[in-house]
Amino acid sequence: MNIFSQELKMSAASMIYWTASIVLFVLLFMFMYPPISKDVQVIESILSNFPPELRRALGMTTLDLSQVLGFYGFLFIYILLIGSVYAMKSGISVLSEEIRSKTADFLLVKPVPRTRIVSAKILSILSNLIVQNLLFMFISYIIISSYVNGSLDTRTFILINLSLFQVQLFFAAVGLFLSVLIKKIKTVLPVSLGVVFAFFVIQMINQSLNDPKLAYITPFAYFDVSKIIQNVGYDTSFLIINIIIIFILTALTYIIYQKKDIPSL
Amino acid sequence: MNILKRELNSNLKSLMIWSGSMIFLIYAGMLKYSGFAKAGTSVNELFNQFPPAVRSMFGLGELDITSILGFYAVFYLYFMVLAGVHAIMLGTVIISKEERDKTADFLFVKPVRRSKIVSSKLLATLLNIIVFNLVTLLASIIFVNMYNTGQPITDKILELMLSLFIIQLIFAAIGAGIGAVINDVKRAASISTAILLSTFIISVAIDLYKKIDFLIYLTPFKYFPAADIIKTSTYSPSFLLLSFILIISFIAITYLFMEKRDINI
Repeated sequence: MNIFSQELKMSAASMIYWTASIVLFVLLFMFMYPPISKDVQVIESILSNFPPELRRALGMTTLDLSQVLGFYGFLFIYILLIGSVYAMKSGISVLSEEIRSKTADFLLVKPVPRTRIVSAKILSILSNLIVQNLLFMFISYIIISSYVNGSLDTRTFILINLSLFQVQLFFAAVGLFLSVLIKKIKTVLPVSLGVVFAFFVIQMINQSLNDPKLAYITPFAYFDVSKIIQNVGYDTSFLIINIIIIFILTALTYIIYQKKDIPSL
Repeated sequence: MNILKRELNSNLKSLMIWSGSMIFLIYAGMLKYSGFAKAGTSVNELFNQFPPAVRSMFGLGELDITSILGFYAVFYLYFMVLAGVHAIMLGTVIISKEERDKTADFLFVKPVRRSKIVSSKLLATLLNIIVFNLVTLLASIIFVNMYNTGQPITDKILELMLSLFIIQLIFAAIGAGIGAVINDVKRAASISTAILLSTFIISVAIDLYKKIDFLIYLTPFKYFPAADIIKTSTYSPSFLLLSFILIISFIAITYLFMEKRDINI
């Protein structure tokens, strides 16, 4: 419990900053929504005559930018990007921070099994992510509703937003795993940015080529917003794959950390 | 000379990982292109009938995405983002890491002027981004030629890589400047991350909504658009000048602030 509350105290400020930045992002981009939606309506009316295969080949997904949720969906890939950097950063730093700030031998000589330490730290990430997602979902709901004329499709909205949490869990798990795998991580952010952007670029390529095999590599493809809007649900196989990957990586984190050599001062 | 060698050595592993990822990315992309090109010819004819405004909305401008050059230009966008991540993080960390590693009091008491230490570190950064650029260039030439059935585009690739290099220089200089001004490596890395993410987001916003294109000066990703380079084979002189000013000023900032920096031990 002490470890958990200590972790929360240390990470609260950074969680607030990151949450504020994604809220700011949504706010700024939604300012552009009214003028864009007018332009898009004209184009959409031309394009809607084309067969779906053609639209896909042109790199246009089924996102309708003239609709609030379609536009929000378009923004959401970038929200995922920022949120993932945060999650990965938290995942990498939570265990490796002790080594960097030379507090590992202070913590690990306490009469607490290592598994409990890992659990407390994972729990702190989890609570941060949950708080972040709830805050963000609440605020963005207010922002988005102010742009809707009729009523907002709340179910779809929540489904889109929940995909953020799941992608974040993926990256937090990758971060945890990397942090116990690599002997010494000196700075967290370069690694996080590199990995997240690599997955992001794969998703961008996947979108323009629409290759089903590429989709399995990157979590950004697991929760394709245009499909969520279309089906008002997730793709079950990707949902399961994501859970399995998270589970395996977390289990490996426990196992490796159990035996990890910790450099003392 | 010793400092340079030491810096090159300590960045070797990360440079190898980056180079490997770039090679993989280019290889995978070009492999996919071969399949994509066959399917796309008819699509492209249709696409060419669209008004220019519609085309630019898809980020293509006058480029033909089914030609290997157009396809490569789409890739170039991702190269810029990844190269930007690499350069800004490298610049930030290389300048400010001595205090984190507790090696500052070892290094700065040596009979070497601080300006010389900074020069060696900047030179190491320069060499690293040159290697990054050359690897990208060579991998592009090799893999593009492997799948190119039309005219050779090697000269265009060279031109694009040159502008990529300028963008790398800008981000590396910004990173070094931040590393010098901000005393704490963790905070410096956070600020660099914020800058990189915001410049990327701004470039997305400009693509989406043309009326805010006065923001173009804020994002190096938009200084040398691939479509223009391919069409005209020239770089915009005003943006070249702006890049030059940015690079020089941030390097000047680096020297100035390092000269006066209080070293925390």
